Amino acid sequence: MKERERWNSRIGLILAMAGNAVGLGNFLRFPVQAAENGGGAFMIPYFIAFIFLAIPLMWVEWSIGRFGGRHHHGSLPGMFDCLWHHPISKYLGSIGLFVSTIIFIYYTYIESWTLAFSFFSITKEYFGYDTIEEMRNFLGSYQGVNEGYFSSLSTAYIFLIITIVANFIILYRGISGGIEKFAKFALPLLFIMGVGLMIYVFSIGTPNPEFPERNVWNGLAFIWNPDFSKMWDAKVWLAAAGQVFFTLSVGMGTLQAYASYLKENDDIVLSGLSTASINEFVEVVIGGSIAIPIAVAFFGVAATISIAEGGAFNLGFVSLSVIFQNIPFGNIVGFVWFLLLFFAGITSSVAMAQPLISFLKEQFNFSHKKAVTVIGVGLFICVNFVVLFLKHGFLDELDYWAGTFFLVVIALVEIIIFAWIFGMDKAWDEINRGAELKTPKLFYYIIKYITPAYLFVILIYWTYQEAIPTLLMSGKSEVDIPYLWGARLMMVLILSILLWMIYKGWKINKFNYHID
Amino acid sequence: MEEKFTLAGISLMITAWSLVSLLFGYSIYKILKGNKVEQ
Repeated sequence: MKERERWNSRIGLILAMAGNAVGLGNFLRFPVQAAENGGGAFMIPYFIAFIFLAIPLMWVEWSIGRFGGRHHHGSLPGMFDCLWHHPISKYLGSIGLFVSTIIFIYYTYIESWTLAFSFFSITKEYFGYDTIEEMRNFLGSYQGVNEGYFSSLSTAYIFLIITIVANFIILYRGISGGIEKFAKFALPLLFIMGVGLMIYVFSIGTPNPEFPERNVWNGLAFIWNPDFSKMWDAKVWLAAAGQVFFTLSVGMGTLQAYASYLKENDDIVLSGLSTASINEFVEVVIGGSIAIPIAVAFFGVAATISIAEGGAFNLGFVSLSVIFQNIPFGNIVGFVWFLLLFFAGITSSVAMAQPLISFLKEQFNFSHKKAVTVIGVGLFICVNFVVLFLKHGFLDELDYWAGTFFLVVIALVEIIIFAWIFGMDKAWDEINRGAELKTPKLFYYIIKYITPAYLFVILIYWTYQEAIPTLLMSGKSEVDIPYLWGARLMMVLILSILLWMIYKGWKINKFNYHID
Repeated sequence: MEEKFTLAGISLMITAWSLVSLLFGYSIYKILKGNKVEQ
């Protein structure tokens, strides 16, 4: 077997892992979730979920990844097969490959919007569309959802191609030469831009003296003033668990893929904790201090609630673009904001391609460049459906199954395999191998009992609350239904191909493990 | 509709910010110190 590539430096690894975790959700999803679910009171279930769900899963995924890497596997089918010698285990791992691949397909398109809007900000392309409705129309015409400023999807395609090329330049260069080098540059820059924007937002104060109550501090109050009555609502606890879960990019197979390039005795306890802490700092301190406070300062609380209810993109793309037209140096601030989102996006998307790259290299002996090229061509074919059928909910359908529901399924499956089938004693030794921080013994029991129970409750609740209505397409228009079936067909096809590849890959390689 | 910052809101914001900043600072400090734990 070929020697696996390694991370060049620890700081590079942590920044790449943090780049994977820090995404659009830190800046757009978190503040909306906090504001909708009890403000400051939301942070109590949020931190509880962070301790009982996020930190344990972080350590579990890093451990599974490092363990798999030791056995020359960088994707979940091989990793599960090493942990559990059962014919079905590798097929369970296919969900990990499936999820990261599907998210990679549609996320790249969303990422291209941020690049486009960064360009439109600096060139003042949307300046003049200064109401929410006009701006929504501008965005819709860019996406091909409605008629308007853009008469075709050609501009959207140009930015999509640039985004895909940027992703693949990084991926071509490999782990240390591409992803690590890029993370070392992009994460500090993202951090500087985030802090800079936060300071700028705080300096705005009360932009319109005619409405003194519309100010940044009332925006922060909107997010942080606690509504303790919501603490007794189970939905708030599930929303907090969901936010913590999504923000750290667990359940995708990407953390494991990155961790597979660690050496046998490299620390994971402290590195995993550092990654989580960088992500939390960006989310709670920076993410909560930009979009909502500035929206409240310009539109007031009532309008911000309605904007937030329209979704994170309504807040991040539409409302903020209106605000950028009404502040000094708004085009530069807008450029920085969307570039920040682009960097947050690209450091995540390159991670999403990694499990499939590893899989092709390890199971089919593809060269690195061949694996990246094959995935690039596949991505470009599949993303067309997302672009062309966006208005029919194609992207939302992919996002619900791959980007929401199956993430929890993977997390639950992997923690059961790791803590219960592989065995908690061996799992604990694996987590603590080479550790630079003593893991409190309490986490032994949290990983074994509490985290799986937490995930199980989330999965049951979401199945009942959302998965069944989504599966039955409740409330969907007749026009959209064929496209939603199309999205499902694409997912089933991709999953079937992956299952077949796993079957073939194992036949070719006839793996024989020496588990220590 | 507009709501002023309450004492509870400010306290929760400062507590949350302090917690994540402490966690961030602590993990960076430990990385820079870089000692392996005896197993």
